[in-house]
Amino acid sequence: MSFWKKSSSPEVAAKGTQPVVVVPPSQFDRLMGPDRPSEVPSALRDLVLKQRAAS
Amino acid sequence: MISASVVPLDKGHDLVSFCSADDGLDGWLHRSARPMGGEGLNRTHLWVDDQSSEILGYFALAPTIVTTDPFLGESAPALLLAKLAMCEALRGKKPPAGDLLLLAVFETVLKAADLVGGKFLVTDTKHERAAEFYARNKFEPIEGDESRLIIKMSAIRRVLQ
Repeated sequence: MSFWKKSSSPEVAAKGTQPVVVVPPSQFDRLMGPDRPSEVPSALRDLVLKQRAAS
Repeated sequence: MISASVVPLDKGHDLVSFCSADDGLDGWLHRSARPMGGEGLNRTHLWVDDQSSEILGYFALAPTIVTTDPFLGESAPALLLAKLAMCEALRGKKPPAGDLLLLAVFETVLKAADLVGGKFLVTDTKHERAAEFYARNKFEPIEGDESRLIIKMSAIRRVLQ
């Protein structure tokens, strides 16, 4: 029996069937590869730094 | 500046007063979050004001898997941000309350990934405003399914390190 069942919707996850998120192989390989600075949410990073400076 | 903390949903929370102005998300919190959490299908976390204990937002997480093929593909564990909603009254605040709520999500998923593993955070977006919010925060669309978005856990870690 497979625990993971194919679905594309988080609504389905909420109902109990865990979705599998299918990603094209080329995108998967890139996502699994080295980090790039452009992937980091810089605005949130700045917000974290401001919070720390203020505390 | 909002001062709020993340707490797991429990029986004592009064959920009825929460209003994000999205009937679907509000109704899900009011009616479904507790029973589904009780069954272990997902977990809802509340973003609660540190002073007043008012619920300012909530999010629900579930485990998922990212794969190139459901049967034979490469795969990696991930977390699904199944629900995310913020109190309507917080719109327009500076700094954006949505960003603060997303930081709270990031802190929570990073703890989960440190406990059980997780390479990615995945979510869905149903309208343009949400898509812009996630794009601004470096979630990228999954090719072929543009409404589904993904971000690396390592990028989340860099935000919070």
